[in-house]
Amino acid sequence: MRLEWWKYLGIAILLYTLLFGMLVPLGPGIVEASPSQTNTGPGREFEVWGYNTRFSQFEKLNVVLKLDDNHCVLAREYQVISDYRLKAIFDLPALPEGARSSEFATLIIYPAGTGTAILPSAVSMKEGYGDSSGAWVPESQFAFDRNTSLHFPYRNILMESIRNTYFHVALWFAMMFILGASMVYSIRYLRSGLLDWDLKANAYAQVGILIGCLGITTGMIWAANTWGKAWSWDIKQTMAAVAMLIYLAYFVLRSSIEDQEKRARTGAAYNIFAFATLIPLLYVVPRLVDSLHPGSGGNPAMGGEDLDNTMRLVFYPAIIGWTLLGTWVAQLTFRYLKILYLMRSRNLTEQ
Amino acid sequence: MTQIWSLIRKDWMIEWRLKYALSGLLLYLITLVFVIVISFQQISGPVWNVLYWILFLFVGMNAVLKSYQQESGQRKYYFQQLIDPVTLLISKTLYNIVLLFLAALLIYLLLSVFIESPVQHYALFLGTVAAVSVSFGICLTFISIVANQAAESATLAVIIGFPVLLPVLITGVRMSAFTIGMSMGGEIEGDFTILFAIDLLLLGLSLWLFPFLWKD
Amino acid sequence: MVRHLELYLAHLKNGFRSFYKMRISRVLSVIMLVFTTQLLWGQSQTLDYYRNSGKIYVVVAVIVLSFLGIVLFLINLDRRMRKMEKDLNQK
Repeated sequence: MRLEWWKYLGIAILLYTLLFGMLVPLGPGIVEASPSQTNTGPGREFEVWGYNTRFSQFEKLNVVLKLDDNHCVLAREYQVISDYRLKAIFDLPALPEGARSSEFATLIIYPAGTGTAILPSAVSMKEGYGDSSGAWVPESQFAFDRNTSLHFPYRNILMESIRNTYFHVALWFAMMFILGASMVYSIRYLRSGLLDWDLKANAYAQVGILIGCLGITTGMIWAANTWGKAWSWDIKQTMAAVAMLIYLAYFVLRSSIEDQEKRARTGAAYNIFAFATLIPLLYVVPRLVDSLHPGSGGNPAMGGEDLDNTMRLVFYPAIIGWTLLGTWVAQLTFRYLKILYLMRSRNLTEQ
Repeated sequence: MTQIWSLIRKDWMIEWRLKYALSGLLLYLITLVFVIVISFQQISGPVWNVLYWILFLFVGMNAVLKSYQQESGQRKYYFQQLIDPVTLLISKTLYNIVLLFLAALLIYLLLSVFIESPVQHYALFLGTVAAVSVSFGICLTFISIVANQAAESATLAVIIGFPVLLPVLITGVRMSAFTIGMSMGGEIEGDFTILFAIDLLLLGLSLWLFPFLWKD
Repeated sequence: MVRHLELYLAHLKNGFRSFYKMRISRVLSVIMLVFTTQLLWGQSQTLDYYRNSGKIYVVVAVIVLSFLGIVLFLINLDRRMRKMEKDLNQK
């Protein structure tokens, strides 16, 4: 019997991705602190809107503004209005020596729910007037617990749509694997001359294109809801579209050659060439140009802030799951192509 | 080596004798430049930069894509007996690179006759043009060979050539933006390295794949 | 919460009566029911807020689209295969 278990493994992994990716809640976050600009001095009041927070469930909240590791200040008093809203009053000490004329402070609230709520660059502070009784204290005085429960990180514009990492982003990775497999089959065809390999390369390229198109459309939906526009000529979007064009050209090329053997040979050569141009297209050029995507301008594509350990637990299996599902579909397509080829060579079909 | 040289000379002789190919190219180029100058009137630095590369793309594709078409029919069988495919590919690629480089220089000269050129660092600009010509030459030579396998080779060459050339073109636009004094962030050396890496990759691949396409 | 579940049950019984008669779908709907209950209880009272402003609909749209795309591809493959089978039976 042929190996079949990986198909069911793929489905199981995708189910796990779906369940885990949708059910694990987001950590608490801060949507906005108002006003976003202030002068230093006593009695500065801020209103804070939280997300997934449960302010009223805790007896004592630490509401902290942080400039850097050595300069933090705790709110003098705070008033919880609801689970998602509170008012805090700070006595802001004068900016430390060597600071610029205005400094961005991070707002931290702990405990805020299932962890710590953080808003980077929440407030820009300028040197103000009036004496202040407050003083800067180092961050080590507060015991911020960053990992109290299982949750995905909260990001301000993304919010719940950070879960798209397991679908949109994982689809792209799966596409690369599927197209890579297509290229490997093309190489095997050129090495051996067996037509099966070429049919496989064709099938995998078809599924790769399908996944790529899904990647683009899901990306457009995500972009419309986070960047405000579905298509903003972002370099990665453009490059992805061009990559699709390259592979569509592969099918045009195949369909324009009549002779079976010549078609396979030319198709295989072009497929290898196309995959080689795909690598600079998707991974090198986008890093040179400013992009809305993470991982541009020299940053690592997936790391640091964008993908924490909890997300990795879902993200890596998601890639495997989508790849296995794609492989399954590609195998089906290959079997179809093979039967079609056999029938054609016996003049059993007009297709 | 001598074989490569004589193949290049053969290509040039054919091109020179069939004057219509070269003069057609020249006419095409002049018309394009005229249309651009008349319709734009005033051209700022960034626009000049983009226009230059678009001109280069069209003229380059026109120049190279038809060069392989002569290698068909009886002459192809004759060559197959005579020459190693690797030698043939290298000579073709070298010839096309030189042709593209000359075309790029010609476009620059023609443009600067009518419009003041915004280029500030001439040596860097020349280097950029040379580097992009090399990449274009490698890509277009291979594409024209692939397209020549099909019946509708001219249309097909444009369809499959354009997306493959785009990353190189974008890098070229970025690099020459440096030379006209626009900063795009990052270092121009990095771009040269990337172009060089793409060149090596594609050259290696086309050397490996060409024999499969060459045999019948 | 309980009302939601009741509505859900009623919906299943009325709208999909024929569907409900099949044994497999009965098992399936029980699983779905357990699943939904888990989901609803787990999220407690923050659920409404969470849904309204959290852009969760974007994720749902993306998931639906990804699966729909693959399913449509399979349907197309199925259609092509049926055509092929018809040819095979004719000759």
